[in-house]
Amino acid sequence: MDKYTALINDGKFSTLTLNVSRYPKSLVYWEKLLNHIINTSTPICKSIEPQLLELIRYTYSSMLNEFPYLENYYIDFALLEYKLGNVSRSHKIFQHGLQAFNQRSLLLWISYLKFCNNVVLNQKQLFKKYEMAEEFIGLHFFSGEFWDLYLEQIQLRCVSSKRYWSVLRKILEIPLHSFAKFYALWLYQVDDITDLKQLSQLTSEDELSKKLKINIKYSGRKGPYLQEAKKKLKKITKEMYMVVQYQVLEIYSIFESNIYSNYYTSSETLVSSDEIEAWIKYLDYTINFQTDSLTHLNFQRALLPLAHYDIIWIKYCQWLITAKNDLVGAKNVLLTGLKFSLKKTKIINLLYSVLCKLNDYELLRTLFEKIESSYSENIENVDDFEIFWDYLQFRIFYQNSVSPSRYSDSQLSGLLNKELFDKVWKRLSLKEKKTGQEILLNSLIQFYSKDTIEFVEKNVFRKILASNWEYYLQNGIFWSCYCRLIYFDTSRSYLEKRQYIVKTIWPQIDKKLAQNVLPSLTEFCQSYFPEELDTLEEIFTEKA
Amino acid sequence: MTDETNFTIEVIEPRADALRGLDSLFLQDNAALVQTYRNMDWSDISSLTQMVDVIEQTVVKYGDPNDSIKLALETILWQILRKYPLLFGFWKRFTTIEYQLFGLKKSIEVLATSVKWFPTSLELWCDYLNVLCVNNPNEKDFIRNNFHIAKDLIGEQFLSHPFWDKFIEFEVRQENWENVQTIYEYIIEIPLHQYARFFTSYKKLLNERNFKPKRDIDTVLRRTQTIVNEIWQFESKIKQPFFNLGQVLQDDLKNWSQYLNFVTNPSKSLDKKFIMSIFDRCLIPCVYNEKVWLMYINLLTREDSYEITVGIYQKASKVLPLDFKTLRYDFIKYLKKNYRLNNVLFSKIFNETVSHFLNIWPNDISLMTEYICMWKRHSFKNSLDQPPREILEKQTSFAKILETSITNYLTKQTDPRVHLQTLINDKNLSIVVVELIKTTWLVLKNNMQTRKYFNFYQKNSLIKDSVPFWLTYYKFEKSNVNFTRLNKFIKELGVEIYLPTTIMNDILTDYKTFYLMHSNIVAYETSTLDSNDFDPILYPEMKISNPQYEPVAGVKPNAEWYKRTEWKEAGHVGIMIERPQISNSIIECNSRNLVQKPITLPNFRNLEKINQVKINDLYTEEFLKERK
Repeated sequence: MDKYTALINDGKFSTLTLNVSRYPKSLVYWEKLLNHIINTSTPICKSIEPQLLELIRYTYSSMLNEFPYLENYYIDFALLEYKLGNVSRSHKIFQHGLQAFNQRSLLLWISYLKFCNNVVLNQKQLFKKYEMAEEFIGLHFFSGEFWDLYLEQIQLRCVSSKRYWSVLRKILEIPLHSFAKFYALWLYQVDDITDLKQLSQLTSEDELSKKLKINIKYSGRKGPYLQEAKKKLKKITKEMYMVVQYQVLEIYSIFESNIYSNYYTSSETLVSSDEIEAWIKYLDYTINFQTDSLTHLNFQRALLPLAHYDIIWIKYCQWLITAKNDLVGAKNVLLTGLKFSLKKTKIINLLYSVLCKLNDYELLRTLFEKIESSYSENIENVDDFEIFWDYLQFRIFYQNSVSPSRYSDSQLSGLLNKELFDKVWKRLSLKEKKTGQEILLNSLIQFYSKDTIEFVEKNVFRKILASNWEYYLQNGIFWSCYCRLIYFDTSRSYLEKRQYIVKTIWPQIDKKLAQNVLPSLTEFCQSYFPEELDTLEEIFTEKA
Repeated sequence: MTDETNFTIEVIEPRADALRGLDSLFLQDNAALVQTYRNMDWSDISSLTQMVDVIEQTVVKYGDPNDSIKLALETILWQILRKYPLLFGFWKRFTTIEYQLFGLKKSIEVLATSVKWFPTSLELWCDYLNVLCVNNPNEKDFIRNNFHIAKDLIGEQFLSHPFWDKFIEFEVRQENWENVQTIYEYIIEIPLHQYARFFTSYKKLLNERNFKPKRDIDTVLRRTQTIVNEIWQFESKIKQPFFNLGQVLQDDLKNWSQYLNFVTNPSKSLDKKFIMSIFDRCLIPCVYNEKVWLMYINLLTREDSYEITVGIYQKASKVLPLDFKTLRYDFIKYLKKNYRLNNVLFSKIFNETVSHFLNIWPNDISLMTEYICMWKRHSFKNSLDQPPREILEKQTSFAKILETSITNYLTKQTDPRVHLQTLINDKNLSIVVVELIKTTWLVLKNNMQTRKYFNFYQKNSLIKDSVPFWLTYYKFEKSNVNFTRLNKFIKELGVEIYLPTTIMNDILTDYKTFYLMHSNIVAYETSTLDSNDFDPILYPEMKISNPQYEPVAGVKPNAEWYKRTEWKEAGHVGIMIERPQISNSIIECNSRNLVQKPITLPNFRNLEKINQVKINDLYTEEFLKERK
């Protein structure tokens, strides 16, 4: 029996696969399954059974599909392919992984570049990769290792020292955790200069003569002059060192030292609020530095440990909108966030708004449908009122636009739309079982045209009265909403409104409920007609 | 009380500096007096005591000083007692001083004043009555009258036996035996510390005079005895029955609270007068304790008579420290609630109370809201049964008076005869304006005029930042579904209109909802076409908790960025740091481009400040300390 057949007929294997399919969001089960398959298949070499290899590949990619932020599994997977000689597959896996992070994963880049050092022979191509990595992760606080690799390759592969000088010079300015090391390199390099002319590698002749008073074409005795020039160079290096040191210490002491996990953990792992707080402050700090690539990078860094918290996604989106006016970027961030974040309400709400701003109503409709179907077409039953509420608002907005001509007053079509109003009514009819009923009522009375007021009165307030739902009848807010609905009706005169409220609405209140209802009604009276306070008190004290 | 002192505390008070106008030679000779007076710490009892000591020494030193010195010394004492009328020891010393300075008559007058200002003081009443009996033995009716006043005020106090002894002695001296018996009949029901003694002497009196008791006094004795035994557990624990500056002892407070709970327990059915006397006594040391006052009022409101309740409310609102609001607001609520019992009286008290509260809390705008509500309810009474014309006339005249009052206030020509005008101040003016606008808009239904008012008053600096004003404006434009104006308003929030952030957040959230429910895609797209930086859906969302929010068109990273506060405070809000920086940084330049041409040398900003920047590194400091 070959290994593959043995494996799939194994009881343990079926338990593990069953667990995975039952709890696909549980990382532990995936890890157990993968380890089991790999252990069974060792030694993995070119002669591995093709079916077994397919199984391993399939498991890796399914797992990475579920957990796109598992940096080290991309690496494991890519190196496995490399071991088997499938270089182009390895490339693809690395690139696929980098894509998941918008190219901003330090760990993946370092592994990928180490891999490339071995397999990419073309110097130009290799440096292109380094330049790309530099663009995305070069400013990472811990990118010292990347820069080491870069410098090493330059020394290995370049004849001229020009590139080395330039890259090193750039590194000096980046606030890196291991910044001091590069200063040492730089100072050695300066020491090694033996000819005045070499100084032109560092900067332009003009700069040298203007700022440091060094003349490369100095014609006198060059030895002491060079020593003098080096001293000047060291002085300016020291100044640079002081500035960068200050920055590094600030970043480290306020933020980096308070951040403990720099890797992805599954949603089952909770991150302490202190650490989340530290990240938020760090991001604010980064934003203030206005170095966009660093801001992007730090957001992506924060999303590694905090992918399941909505707050970072929202912050990222807000930054993109506020500072970069990048609405498409914001949309993408929100869409990704929607997949990762455990709390989705705020992300959805923001996404609705961004989609409107982008005029992407197609996607907006798809989103509505998605949400409806995820609550099996009964979104009014959702426990989180916000979800229902945001959905309803945007649906009404959307509905207002779809069929504007069907009613005489185009503004009403949204709410009067039967399907939407049904949802509202169903939600209201859930009474105390759901939250937000008062907010809903409060918005329903904010329509100021005659038709809608009549509609709302007939289909909401009178209907609730007729249904005799105690939840509302004993709630002062219900009654004061009813009064306000009438009071803000512009088509009625003052006396008509007052008459209606005092003579028609109030008498319908059950006097036994005076205790509950009176405070809100008194408040209403105090703001709009204190003259009727006596009447109100009389109505309720007669029997009490 | 007939004999009024010829100078009352009220008259003395305005003399802020008691030493003004004194002979400079005298002031030089009495440096101690001057210094003690000038350095007097009003919250420290020892400082006040020292002041009185010095006055006594001065009196001894001069014997019979001239009138202006006398007046000065007197004034200081009045000032102290006006502020702390419950310091009974000071009243006693004052009496002695007055006696030395002016003689007997004036010292008696001081005692008369003392019981007026501190009517629940057993000691002062005893002193006063004693002095009256000794010095004016012939004015029997006057003295008897005072005994009766005192009886109602302090007669129920647990330790009031000296008073009763005196009263009995007084009547015995007159041989007014009937009165003596009446007194005894009264005493035996009171749970006094020395109740037994009074029983014995009453029995003796009955025997000697052959009187018939009016009821079975042994039953009364048993009842009184039971009560005394019950309250003894509390009475015995009272450590400080007198008023003092500073905190009341915790144990005492606890004991009082238990005592009061005990006596107010309805199942005990104790005599109401007795319960009230315990409150009165408790409110001597605990005069600044709002809870006790509230308990007292709670007890009183259980009964029907509102006069006493209102009296206690008024007294408490006067003596409680100014930052106690619960009881005072409670009073307003009480007045509103009971308005219908006696609307003229309650509206009058209500007005006085609001005036008083506005004096102590001029910044509290809710008082104006309460006032206007009551004012309209009381003075512009109208009912739906009246003909519509009359109702509308009332409303119009209401609006007229509001407008006149506002105009008068703004032109600084307030009319003291109109009560409303005396109440308006810079803070609450906006409330009156809002009321005017609300009436014009919702009652008189004059939209044109309403908008005129909004435009006119929003320019006024007193109203520009008013929350009710802008909320009303927002409601008004919402009811007109006027998106142009609403959008403008939302845009100006936080930039030109400054409201508290929480309020702005509420408005922004509400506006988004309102817009979505009332607008549509076509209108939305047209509105965003006009202005690229504002849209009614996303903009309010982004502005929440970020009132200064400007869409991207406004801010772009510029060379001056390092001068902004955000940059200087980055990482440590509230601490501005001139951070060292490389001003021509190349970190955003890719090495691909760097290789192309020579790199410029770094330029620095704030390099010289690098050593000035010191962040207080508490963490390390404390860590090191612990290690040691």
